[in-house]
Amino acid sequence: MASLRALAGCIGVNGNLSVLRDFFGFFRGVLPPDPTGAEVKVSLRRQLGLLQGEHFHVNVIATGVDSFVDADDVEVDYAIFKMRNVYNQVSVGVGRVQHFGITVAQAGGLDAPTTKDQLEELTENWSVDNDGIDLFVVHDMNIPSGSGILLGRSAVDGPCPGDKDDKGMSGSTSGLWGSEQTARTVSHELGHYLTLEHRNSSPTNLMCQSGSASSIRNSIVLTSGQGDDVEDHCMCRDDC
Amino acid sequence: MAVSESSSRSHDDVLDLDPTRFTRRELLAAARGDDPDLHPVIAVRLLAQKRYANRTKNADLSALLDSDDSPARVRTAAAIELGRLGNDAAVEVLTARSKERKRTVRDPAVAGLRELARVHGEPSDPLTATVRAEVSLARVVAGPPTLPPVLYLDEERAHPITTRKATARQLSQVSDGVQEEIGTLGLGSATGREVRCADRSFVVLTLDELVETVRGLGPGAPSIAAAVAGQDTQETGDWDLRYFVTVTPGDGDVMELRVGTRQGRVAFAGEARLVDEGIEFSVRAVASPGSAPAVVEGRLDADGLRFSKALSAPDVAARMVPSQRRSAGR
Repeated sequence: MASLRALAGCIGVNGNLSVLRDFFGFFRGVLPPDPTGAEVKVSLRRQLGLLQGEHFHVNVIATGVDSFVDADDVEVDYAIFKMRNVYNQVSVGVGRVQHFGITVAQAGGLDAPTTKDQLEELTENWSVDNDGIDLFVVHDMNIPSGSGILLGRSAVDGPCPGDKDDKGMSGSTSGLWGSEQTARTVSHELGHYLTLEHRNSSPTNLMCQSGSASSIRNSIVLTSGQGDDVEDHCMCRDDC
Repeated sequence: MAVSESSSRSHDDVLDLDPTRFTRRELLAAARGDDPDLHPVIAVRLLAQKRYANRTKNADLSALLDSDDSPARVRTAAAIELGRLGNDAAVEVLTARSKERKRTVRDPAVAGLRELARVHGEPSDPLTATVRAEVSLARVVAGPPTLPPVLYLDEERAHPITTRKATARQLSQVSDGVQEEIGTLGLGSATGREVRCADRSFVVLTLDELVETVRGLGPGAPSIAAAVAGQDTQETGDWDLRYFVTVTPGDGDVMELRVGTRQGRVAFAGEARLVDEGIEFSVRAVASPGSAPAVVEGRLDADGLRFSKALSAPDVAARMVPSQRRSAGR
């Protein structure tokens, strides 16, 4: 098996690195707590193996970054932890996770959207010029959807590396809804980016909308067919 | 025709819980952070959706807005729901709190008033004396005095934007979707024009008797000329309001035309001119991150709205780049 340093270099993480912060992408540099109190563990061996197969990179963009408090970063880190487990089910790795911020002033109100088109506008205005999927974590999302609430929105079959400046929605978005819900919504929206469609008739599937899911914590199943579709997306690579 | 026209599709994650599954007390407790399984902001949304006396609901939401124990996003959510309710008592609370010295109360109240204006509209203000417009008109018209330059369109490389007369069924659906926001404006009661860009669909609704209205405007007096509704073609099929078109007469024949979002971002700009028994117009996309060059020209008269040119190019202005972020512990 290739060394950690070699694989870190392959995914673009170089220099003096912290394993949890730089290699696993946890913003706070420590493992986030599980909301149920269960033990949280990551496996370096598993991650090294996944990076030698199909994997994708993520840019976490804290939107309204000056409003983020430590508890919000804990929530984001838990979403990253869970995302790795979700996609591991279909042997797809999450590679480099980098963190970016858009201040409240820069966002011009898009850190607190109340309509769907503001989420589209957000991804149309901002993008990180690299080979990662842009994931906008919006601090104060409050968008009604019927009698419910919209938790996130994403491009379906999102743009390839180099095409993120094309017309239209170019990334995924999620609000902050508590660790378990945020984690599910983040993985769900990234699933859309990676071509997956809704599966509301399968309440345990990740792609079932949260309102129809049987459990926010456990409705995270991906089938092998969905895994194949994810692997076929141009953001997935196996170059390490 | 929109700058944000998309060649991509998008899907949502929606939590559509039934408010009747919870008692009012349970929702209030969750809004205070006492339920690990129900996020406080979602609890506030459910509280607002739950059917119980408005008077009590106003009091509950006001208490959450005022509570020093509530996190900022819960206070904001409570204020936004008061704005969505929009009854007299809610307006009174939001207006009073928007004048508070304490920012922890004032800022959420202002967010609530913005939502009130978005959902229910506002009475006319000094900028819009000729029509009972909502605050979006003021935002678009009061936008930057000098607009960004329009984007150059290479017509050789551009592709046509499809337009056609909107069907009666479409108009009915559009009306359902945007009634709350444009109901008082007198827009497109009889006709509308559909504009298709990639897999997106828009309908332009012009102001009834626009030509007569414009003739009556003095220099510098703006009016809403049209509204543009957009459809969620991927999931719900619902229509919602995307843009307002405003017209402001200058000193001579030429009028300034702006197409802007409800938040006030101007997406298209151009000119209109009164000719014979109608109005001829031309608008182009203005430079902003993620926007694409486009031009729309046409005429509005007794025969309705017609486009003589509608083109868009695939090139998009560069998006902004967020700053890299590192935790303080690093």
